[in-house]
Amino acid sequence: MATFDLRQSFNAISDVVINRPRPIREFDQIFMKTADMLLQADHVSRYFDKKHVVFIGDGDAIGLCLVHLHHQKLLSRGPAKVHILDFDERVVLSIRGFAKRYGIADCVSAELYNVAEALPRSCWQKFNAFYTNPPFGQRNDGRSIEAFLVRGIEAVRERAIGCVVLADDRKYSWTHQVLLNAQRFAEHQGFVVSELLPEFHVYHLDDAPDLTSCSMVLQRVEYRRSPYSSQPLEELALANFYGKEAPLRVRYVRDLTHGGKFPSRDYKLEEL
Amino acid sequence: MNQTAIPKTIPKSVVFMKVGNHAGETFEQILERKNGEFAKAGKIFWGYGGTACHPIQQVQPFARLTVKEEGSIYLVMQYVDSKADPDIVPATEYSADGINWQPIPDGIVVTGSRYALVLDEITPGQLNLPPRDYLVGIGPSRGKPADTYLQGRVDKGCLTRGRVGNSDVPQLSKPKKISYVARLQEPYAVILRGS
Repeated sequence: MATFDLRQSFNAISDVVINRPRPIREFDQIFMKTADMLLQADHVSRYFDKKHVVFIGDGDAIGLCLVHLHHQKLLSRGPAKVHILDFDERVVLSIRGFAKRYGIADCVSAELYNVAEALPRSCWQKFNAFYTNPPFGQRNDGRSIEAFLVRGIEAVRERAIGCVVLADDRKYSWTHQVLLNAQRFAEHQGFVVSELLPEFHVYHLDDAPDLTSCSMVLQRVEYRRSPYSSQPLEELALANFYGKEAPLRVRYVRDLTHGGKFPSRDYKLEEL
Repeated sequence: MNQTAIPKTIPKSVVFMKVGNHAGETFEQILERKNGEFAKAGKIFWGYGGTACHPIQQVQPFARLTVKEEGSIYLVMQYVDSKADPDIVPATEYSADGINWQPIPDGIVVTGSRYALVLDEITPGQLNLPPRDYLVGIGPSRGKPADTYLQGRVDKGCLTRGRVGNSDVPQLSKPKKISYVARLQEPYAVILRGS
């Protein structure tokens, strides 16, 4: 574990946190707690050093944390570039705005994308590493996680690294079944688990505030370069995306403020 | 209107909620008003908020599965002496999916709540729910014993019958007295918003 300049590091994370849009509970957008974001950024910086990393969803803004902390010389290692795919336009625009403000737009990009759709052609087998912290899959034994894993795997090249954040908590038996299924799936796709930090993070999760997650690092050992063949999710997978009887219906979340250019509609002003 | 057929015992899967006085009304006043709404609108919006039972993520899928397996799903209410006093902000629109919004139906008033269960008539009942015989049925706390889950500030849950570990362990919490029961009707739970 690195030694941090605690004040500087937390202030840098605070820059990122204040920039994030509010989470929408309807989609299991649940944010990691701030100290754990710092530890997670430090953890993955070792694996992502000098790499071109794609994030399959990043409501937490770990991608921004990595680049921002590295750029501020608070992390000694960091990715060369990150590209963030997210279905929430508020996330995408907030990342772009932050990158511009802090002078890191040459190494941070973001694109609107929903994992239910085929991977953008421009992302196919392009990156050295992927990162995803998908919905925890507690209602379908992790099958929704596979949708995020597939897109990450499709987007990376030979000898790629992947980091997957998954629920992992001995108090909740479902988490271990989900973890087992995710590991089996990754193995089937030619990846091995090269490191797993158990029960490593906690979340702003209203009805299970003690639930922890792990950071699982995957290493690709089998790879065949292939022409573009990404496919949209099948109807059955969409119908049970969040679990039985819980379909995925939303393609994008649109940002009514256009990245903060228009005022929020959450409030109005009243005269004296 | 026909009264809801009340189950003689607590069903296998239920939505449990502690209820009481709310927003300046006694519970009796709320019941009378709500059953009046049922007479007018054919449904009741039972408002709630807080930290559990998200309408789309939890109540709807839990209810749909339960209806498939058992034919219907019930809200079972435990009366507690509460003085919940939220801001009395009336909801003007509701949505079952977060995408499509409709005006709150004529005759229904729901205040100070972010979500609502959609109910048939509320009927008095005299049932006991033994929390150690139930587990959380959905969500991140799935599989947690209900008696542990319903401690502290958690006042509601989607529960399903089951036990963890040794069933001979002495019961930690007393059976919860269920004073009122209502069958949920589609879409089972909705999100609310004001204008």
